[in-house]
Amino acid sequence: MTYLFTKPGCGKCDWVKSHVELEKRPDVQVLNLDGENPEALAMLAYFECVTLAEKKLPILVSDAGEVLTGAIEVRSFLDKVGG
Amino acid sequence: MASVTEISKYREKEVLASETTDMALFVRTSSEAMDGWDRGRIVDALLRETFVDEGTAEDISLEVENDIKRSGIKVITAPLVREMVNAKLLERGLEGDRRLHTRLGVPLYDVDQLITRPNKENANVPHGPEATNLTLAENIKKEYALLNVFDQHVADGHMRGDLHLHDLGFIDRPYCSGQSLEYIKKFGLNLPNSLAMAKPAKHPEVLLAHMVKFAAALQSHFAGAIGWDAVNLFFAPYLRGLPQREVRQLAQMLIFEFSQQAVARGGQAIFTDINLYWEIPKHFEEVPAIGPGGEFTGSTYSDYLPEAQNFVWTLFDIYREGDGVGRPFFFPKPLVHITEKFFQTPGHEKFLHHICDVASEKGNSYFVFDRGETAKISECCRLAFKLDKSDLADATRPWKMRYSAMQNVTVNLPRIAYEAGGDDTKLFSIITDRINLAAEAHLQKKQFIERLLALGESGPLALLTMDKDGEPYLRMHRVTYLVGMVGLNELVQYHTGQQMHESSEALKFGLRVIAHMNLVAARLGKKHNMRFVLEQTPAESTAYRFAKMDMKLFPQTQRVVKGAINLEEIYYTNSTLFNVGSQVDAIERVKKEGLFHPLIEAGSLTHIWLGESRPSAESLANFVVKTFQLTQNDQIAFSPELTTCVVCGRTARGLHDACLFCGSDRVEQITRITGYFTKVASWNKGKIGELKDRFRNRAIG
Repeated sequence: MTYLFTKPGCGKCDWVKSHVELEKRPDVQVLNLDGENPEALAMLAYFECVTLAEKKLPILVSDAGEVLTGAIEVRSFLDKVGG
Repeated sequence: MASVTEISKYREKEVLASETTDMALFVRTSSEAMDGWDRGRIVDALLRETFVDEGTAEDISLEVENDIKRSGIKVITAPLVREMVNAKLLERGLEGDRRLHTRLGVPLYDVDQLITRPNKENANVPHGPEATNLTLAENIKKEYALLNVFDQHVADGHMRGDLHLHDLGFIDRPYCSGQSLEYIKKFGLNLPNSLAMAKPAKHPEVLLAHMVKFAAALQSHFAGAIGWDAVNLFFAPYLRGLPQREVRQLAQMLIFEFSQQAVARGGQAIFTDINLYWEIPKHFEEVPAIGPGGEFTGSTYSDYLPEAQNFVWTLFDIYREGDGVGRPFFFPKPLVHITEKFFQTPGHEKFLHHICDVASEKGNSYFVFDRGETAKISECCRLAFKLDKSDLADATRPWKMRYSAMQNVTVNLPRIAYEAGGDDTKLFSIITDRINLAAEAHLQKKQFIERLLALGESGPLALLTMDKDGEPYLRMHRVTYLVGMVGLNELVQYHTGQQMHESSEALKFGLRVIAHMNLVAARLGKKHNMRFVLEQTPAESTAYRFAKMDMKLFPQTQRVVKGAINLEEIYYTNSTLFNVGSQVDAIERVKKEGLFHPLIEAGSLTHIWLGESRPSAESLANFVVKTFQLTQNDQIAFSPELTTCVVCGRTARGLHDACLFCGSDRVEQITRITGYFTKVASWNKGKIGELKDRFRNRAIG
């Protein structure tokens, strides 16, 4: 499973969401860090990305445990894996 | 001239008195006098302290008097009379008035036990007359807090063991404080109630004297630890040009002064932490330095790097030697900050080896990891005040950098699992309820402290209201309210069937619990405009208290509680730590326990129990570097075990029942209890159980 961490009000997160058809990607779980979602925060902590998320979002954690940040990098990765 | 009404009242009292003085009864009063019986005193007390009407008060006093007459007793104590009155209030269903009429006190038996036996609730309190005074006063204040500061809902939550309100015996003060030496460097030592005012120190040894006295003053205004920021850096302007012999003498004085403060509150050492840096922390680089006489030196702190480095190195020379018989110093605890800049500062490898050598030999060194832009002041067993943007702006005036925690409230997590019975929704709902209860406790304590602060210079917290820089010493807007946790491991074990070290699913569930606590605390913080933050509770006695209470109330406890049940040496695992007995590789423990740390803003720590082993400084240095680079862990400490002989004075590695050198059985076993070193003989049963279970990591590096 690949995890994509996003946050409400994050322009780059919205950009990725609008450029990748995430609803057609069962291999990608989108976890929204909206302050009400302990599941998302717990997974963020599990992947050691809490501090990173304070500075950079979206964050993608691949099936292999690779951590990617930056809208373009995340989109490219998803396109490559999805394609 | 008295009014007609007053005269009439006076006569009524006279009549009342004359009616009762024919009783040949003496009352031992609380003012150390043997007074004749006076029923009117019951009436007076009821009218003064409760809301009962005069008629009821009269009736009760007559009933009590009759009961006493019938008993034929000749001497009675005032507390017994009060209890008889309380019984009458209860018979009438006046529970609220009975509560107001409560007499706080301690049973004779308990006082005898306190005077003759050591207090094991806090291993940092020695046994002696001063400590007994402290404990007795604490007991009264605890009762006062539970009756008069907190409402019944909160007090019952504590009494039931749903949560633990820490330091109830110190209810009239905040929890702990972290500050900068710059305050006393700039303003001198001018404390309320002090008989003499001292101007800013001109010499390093005077600055040290001011620091020690101020720490003692703070200790009597805070319940817990007193932390000092960047001590080696702020001493540095006083050390320029000083011969090394004198620098060494000063370092020795600093450590001995704080380690021998067993003459302060209740004979208790001041729980002191000194934050230390090898580099100049970024936020102090351009700050004008304050030197002798409280004057700016004309240089910035960047210019004092050599003096600061030499001082911190020398401090660790002293730690390496230990006390007069080579034992580790218990206080002050040296907390070395490891930052990105640390690794860019020349000489850091040698310094890291030096402090790792001390860590291996004596265990003193704490390694605090400030990654990225993070900066903090650490203290207590693991508490940290993370500096935000406005705090870093304050760094230009470092005397303003003082941070306090108001109170620590710990949630009993395993009990929540028992109550939830395996139901996720119920579990998270109860956690939310308990954090709400903790928040209520914080609101009530805050209100009480604000009431005391409002009394200003004439109040009990005058020291905290002193205003030398445009705001009170205690900056309420920067106070944090701690929400702690005990027994996450047992919650997870009961709820999922596995302990956190046993599977990644169990670990993830533990993270979900703490993430939930983090978000609820943040939400409540916004609602009340207060900083509610999670802290790993050191739980020196709470882990034992919760386990004992749950064993009585919840049979399920036996399935997960740790320790030896038959010896009553039971405990829950501290905070978010893994089972201390699990045979987890040291770096894996540091990495996995560290996953929780970013969710716990107010401080976390991972222990590496060394036991008898003495790893090389190089191995520990590698371990520290790996921890910084490859984990999210906030703080680590290596804990050796030592035995000191009272007869021959020599210290051996490991915990032994007899001296390895002379064979005497008069030995003192020493190791870390939670976040500090102490003698094992002073530990409570739960901690003894934990000590037996601890897995000693023999391979480090």
